[in-house]
Amino acid sequence: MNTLLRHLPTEYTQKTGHCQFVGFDIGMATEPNYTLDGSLTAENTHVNRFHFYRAADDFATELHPIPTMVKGGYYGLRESARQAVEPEDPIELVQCVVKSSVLLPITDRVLGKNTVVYEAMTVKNTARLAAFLKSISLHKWYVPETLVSPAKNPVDKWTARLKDFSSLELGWDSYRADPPSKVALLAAGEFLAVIHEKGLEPSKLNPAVVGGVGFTFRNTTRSVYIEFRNTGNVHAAFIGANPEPDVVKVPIDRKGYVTILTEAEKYLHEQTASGHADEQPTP
Amino acid sequence: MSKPPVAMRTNNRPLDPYFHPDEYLFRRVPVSIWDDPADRPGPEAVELPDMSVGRSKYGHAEWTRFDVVNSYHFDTWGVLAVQVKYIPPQFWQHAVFKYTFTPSHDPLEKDYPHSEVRVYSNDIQIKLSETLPEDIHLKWRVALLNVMEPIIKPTQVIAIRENAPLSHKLEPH
Repeated sequence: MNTLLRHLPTEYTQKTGHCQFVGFDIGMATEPNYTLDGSLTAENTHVNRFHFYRAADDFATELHPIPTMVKGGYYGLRESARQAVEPEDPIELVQCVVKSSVLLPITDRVLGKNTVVYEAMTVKNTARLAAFLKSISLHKWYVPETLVSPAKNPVDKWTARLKDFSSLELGWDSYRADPPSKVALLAAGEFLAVIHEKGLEPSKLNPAVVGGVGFTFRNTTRSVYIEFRNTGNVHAAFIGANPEPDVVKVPIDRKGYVTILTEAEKYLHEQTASGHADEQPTP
Repeated sequence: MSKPPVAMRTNNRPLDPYFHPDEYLFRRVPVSIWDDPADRPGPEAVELPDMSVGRSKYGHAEWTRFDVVNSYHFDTWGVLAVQVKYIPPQFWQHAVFKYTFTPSHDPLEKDYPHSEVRVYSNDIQIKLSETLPEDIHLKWRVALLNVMEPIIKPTQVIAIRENAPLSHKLEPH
C-alpha cells in the first residue's frame, strides 16, 4: 500500500520507539477495537487507513490510500461504486483536521474519565489528539461513529446538530443555498469547543443560506450573531443596541474565539446593567 | 400535495417593474432553521444578492410556500414579509463604495409573483455573493431582518387562495 501523505518518516517513529497510533478505516462495519497503545482491528477494510503517530514531543500522520482508489482495487470495485463509498477528498480533509487541531486545549469532555489512558503522553500531544478526535467527529463519512467516543461520552446536542449540517445538499433552503463547507464546519466545531470551555450555551445554531454556519447568543433585546462563512471568514454582528449593527471580523484561531465570546458576554450583560428600556427584541 | 394556484402562472403577462412602497415582499424560511412559531429567524435565513421573494401585488403570502421550480409545497415553512419602503436602501463602505438594494420583478413561467432583491455597487449590479464585502453583507441582512415580520408562522395551517390579489395590499382570508 502506497503512502500518499507522510508528515514524519516511518523511520523516525521507529527510532523513537514511540510508534503509538490511532488508526481507523472508513466504512468498517464492525465495532472498532480502539486503543491508543495498540492498533485498530481492521476487519472488512475496504477504504483507507489513517495513522496518527505520537513521538515524545511531536506527532505525525500517515495517510494510506484507499485500496479502491488504486485501479481495480483490492475488491475490484468499479468507479461508480468507489465514488459511492469514498469521501470526496480525504487527504485534504486530514490535512485540514490535523492543522486545525494544533492549538486547541485539553477538554475533559472529549477525553472524559479515561484521561488516565493518556498519562504517558505529553500534554501537548494529548491536546492535539483531543482536538483531532473532536474535529473528525464532524465528518460522518470519515470515521465510524464509535471511534469518536473512546471515553463513551455522550455527544452534546450542539455538536450533534453541527454534525447534521454535513448532510445538507445544494439548495437545502429550496432556493440555492450552498451547504456548509468542510472548512466552515471544522472552524465552527473548534468554536463550539471554546464555547463549551467557557461554559456558555448558544441560543441557536443553524446553517446559513449564504453558505456557512451561524451561532446566535441572545439575551432578551440584544443578540450576537457569529457566522462562519464557506469563504473561510468569520464575522460577528452585535445586534440590538443601535439601529445599525456593529459587525466585526473574527480572527480564526482560539485566541480570536475567546476574545469574541468575551466581548459577546460583555455586550449581552451590559444590557442588563444599563437597562435600555427602548431596545426592541432582535432576531 | 397541494398544487400551485393557476393564477400563479405568468400566462404571457409582462414584467411589472414598479413596486408600490407599501407593497409586501415574501420569503419562505425552512422549518429546519425556524421551527418555533414564537421566535424569529436570524440573519442566517436571509441571502444576498438576488434574494428570491414573492410580491403581494401578484401573489398571496401562502403562495410563497410553493417551490414551483422543483414542484414542492413546503406546508410547514414560515414566511417572512417586508414592505418595500422598509428595505434598507443603501450602505456605504469607506465613504467610497455605495451599495444599494432594490426589488426587481423577475417572473418565472410558473411563478409570476417571483421577484428578487438585487444589489448594486455604484450603480453596477452585483451578481456574485463573493463580490459583496462580507461585513456589508451581514449588516444588510441584519438590518433587513429588523424590518421583516412573520406573516405565516412555522407549522401554521393556512388555506391556499386560488384567485390572484386585487392589489398590492394584504387581503384577509
